[in-house]
Amino acid sequence: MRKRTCPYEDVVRRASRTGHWDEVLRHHVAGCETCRDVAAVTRALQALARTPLPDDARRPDPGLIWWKAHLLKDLAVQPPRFGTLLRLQDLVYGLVLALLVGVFWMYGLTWQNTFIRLWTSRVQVLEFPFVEAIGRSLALTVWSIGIGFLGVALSWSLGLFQTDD
Amino acid sequence: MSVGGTIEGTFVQTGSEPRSARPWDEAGFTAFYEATAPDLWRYLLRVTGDRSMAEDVLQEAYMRLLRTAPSEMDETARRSYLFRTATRLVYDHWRRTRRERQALRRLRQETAPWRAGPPEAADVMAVFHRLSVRERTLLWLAHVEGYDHQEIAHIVGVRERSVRVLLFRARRKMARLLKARGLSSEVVP
Repeated sequence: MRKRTCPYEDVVRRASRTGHWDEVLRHHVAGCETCRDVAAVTRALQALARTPLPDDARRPDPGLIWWKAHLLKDLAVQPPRFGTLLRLQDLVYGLVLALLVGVFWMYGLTWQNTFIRLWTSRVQVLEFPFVEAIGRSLALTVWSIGIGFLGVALSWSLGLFQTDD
Repeated sequence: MSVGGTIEGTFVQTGSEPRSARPWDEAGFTAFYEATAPDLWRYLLRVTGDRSMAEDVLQEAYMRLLRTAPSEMDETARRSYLFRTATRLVYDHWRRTRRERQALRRLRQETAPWRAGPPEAADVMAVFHRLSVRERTLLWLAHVEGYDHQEIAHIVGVRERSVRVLLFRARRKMARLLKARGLSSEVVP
């Protein structure tokens, strides 16, 4: 598209908005395509602006805007103090985790031995030669799964350590 | 609804007071809102064609004015600030929701707010909404709000020379669409 502007555009735009036309301008617009476009678009948009639409009267309430701005201003001045609470929460998580690891560590071997003893006594009837070995593998698997769960719990807890404040 | 107190940073200016007389209070803000919101609301409704978006943008523009606008702003500068903030929020929203708008285009055609308006306004609005959001904002600011190229450049965030070219193209496009619909006869009274 070739750009063909006209020095009278602004004058025509103003005249179209205000309705104050003089003969010279009328004559110019009649012979200038660019200014005819200016006048046509201004006229159409002015008509659109003047025509009331159903939603025109339903503006948001200024009181609500004032209230929101006030609230945000207060929050900016005094941010809520959750820091101490979150640190306390982290401490509790840490203690619980340490307790779980300790219990697992202290009773892990006893538990394995108990599991193997129970296993061998139950499946003895089958007289399978590797019964004890299978029982030990199972015990190790369950142990590994337990350790895995602890790892997941620890990562989740570490995620909670990263607070926003 | 009434919340006491004042908001520092932006100052109320009435006819009888000096420029930086006192901080915003609720009554002062409401008066300013009543003087400026109808034009901004009309602009947002016509440009977006979406009442809920217009409402969100209008609220956010006034809240930003209350919270961040410099205190030395006069009435004209505040008005320009509102249009600038609102226009940029519309552009941002438009970019973010491109996919959703494409999916809902057909539905929009049936439920657009201007469908309830008079026939000529509905025709002009239909033509207006065949333009891009940038073209619509440029045309509205120039031909309804009466901003000059320099002010429009400031509001939409492009160079003044670019505004001249973009406005020319947008106007050309809209004039052709109006002509195609038989809406451009007798442009001069």
